[in-house]
Amino acid sequence: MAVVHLVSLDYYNIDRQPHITVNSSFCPTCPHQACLVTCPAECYTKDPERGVQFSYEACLECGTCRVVCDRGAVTWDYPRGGFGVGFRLA
Amino acid sequence: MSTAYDLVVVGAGPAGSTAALVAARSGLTVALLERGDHPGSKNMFGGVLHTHSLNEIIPRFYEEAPLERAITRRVINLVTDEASLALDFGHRKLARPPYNAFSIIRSRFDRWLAGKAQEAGALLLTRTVAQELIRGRSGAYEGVVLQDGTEIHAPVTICADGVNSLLAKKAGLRPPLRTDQLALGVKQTLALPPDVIEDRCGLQAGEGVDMIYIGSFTRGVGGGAFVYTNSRTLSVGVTLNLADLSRSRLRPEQVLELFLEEPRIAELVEGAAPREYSAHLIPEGGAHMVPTLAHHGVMLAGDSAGFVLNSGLNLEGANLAITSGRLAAETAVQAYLDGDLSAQSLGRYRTALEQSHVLADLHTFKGAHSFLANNRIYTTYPQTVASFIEEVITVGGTPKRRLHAIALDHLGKVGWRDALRDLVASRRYI
Repeated sequence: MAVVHLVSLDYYNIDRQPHITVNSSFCPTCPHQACLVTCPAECYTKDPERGVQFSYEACLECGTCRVVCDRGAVTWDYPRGGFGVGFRLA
Repeated sequence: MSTAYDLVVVGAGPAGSTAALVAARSGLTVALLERGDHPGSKNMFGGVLHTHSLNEIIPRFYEEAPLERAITRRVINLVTDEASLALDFGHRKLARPPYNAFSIIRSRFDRWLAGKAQEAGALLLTRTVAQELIRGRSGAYEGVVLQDGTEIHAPVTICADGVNSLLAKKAGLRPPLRTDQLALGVKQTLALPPDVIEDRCGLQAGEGVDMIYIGSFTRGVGGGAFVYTNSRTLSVGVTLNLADLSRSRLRPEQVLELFLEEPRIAELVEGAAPREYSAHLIPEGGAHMVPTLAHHGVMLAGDSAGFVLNSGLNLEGANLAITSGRLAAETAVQAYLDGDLSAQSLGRYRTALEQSHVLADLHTFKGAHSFLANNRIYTTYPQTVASFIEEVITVGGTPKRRLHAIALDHLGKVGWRDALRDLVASRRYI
């Protein structure tokens, strides 16, 4: 199943303001761009110009990008209280 | 709202709610902060809670807690591209009190446990994100600042805010996480009628099985897979070493898909409706990633302290979280009785952990993490064992060899030097 279908199973209360921001000016020169392959919600996608395109909406709040990014591009925080993903069966 | 308490606990998971419960029972005023809608709504794990740690705090908790199935069987599977081998252990004792383990769904269970802390007198604040620890002029920690700027003051804070523990990180209490010390767990929860689950897994009504899988479907990435039976769902997931996964260029849900396509798993989940997808980081560095656990006015418990035991065949976390939450609360209570909240006084928390299963087990298995980084465990050895068994049980009309001759032959194919080295290491580390 594609990630887009998997995350559509989940319940989200999406905030208007993102809880993670990515300074993609670091990304074109990043040798591994590990965020592209490891983010389980596929929030990071390849962008021909900026290297990496980020969207926060489907984030599962696992913290993987925070750890695999060694360029300092990811500013990671929790969503505001009550926002973000809500698991019911995990 | 009063903003001064004896104890503030950040995170209403197993560690935090246990700490709040134990401290409130002893008469401390406790604020328990939870960033989700309700306790459990942000929480995810594989699926199994071992009973011993909570049973000490709430005797016979299994009579009232929202549990899924008593785990009465444990199956360890080795999988190669074409073969599979299972070690299936069941014992009737596992179906009787005090049991060994239950599958649980965190959204229900964590909510119940936080409710027990509330009943004992703790104040639960949901949708509340602690942003930072407050540090006083003396250097002691004095509570937390919330996202909206509100300050909650308390002479003792217990950080039970999970593997990412931003509180501990911002305060410099914990070194940055490393990819080689983490596993990424991704899981699908799939719905099936209870009787179908019991039929397919060979279970008595209400009983459950814990199945782990090691082998070729991870394509050499350190880790494995699991299937846990809940009442009406199966939890099916993979845990993958994050450094290996990054290098492999495989995506985590692809590895999970490869696992779901394994013939045995495909049969098991046939017709099951996917209901939820979740992910979580697992601190697997063991004793090597345990930070300083107590400072003046603060202690770390559960995942935020790196308390997960991966001994190769057992992956334990929730029980370590519960015991560490209890010990942190007991240390705080004793510190209040002594009138001494210094780093030295709260430092007794570490001693208590060392005397408990938490740090004792992490110490015993301190070499397991580097041993399990050996990728022969995931590729070569399952293949070796499978071909050994294949030769033993296949009847082909050609002259047979004795067991030890077959074993020596197959081990020889691994390479004697590696096989011996791994055998010696396995004795030392796991």
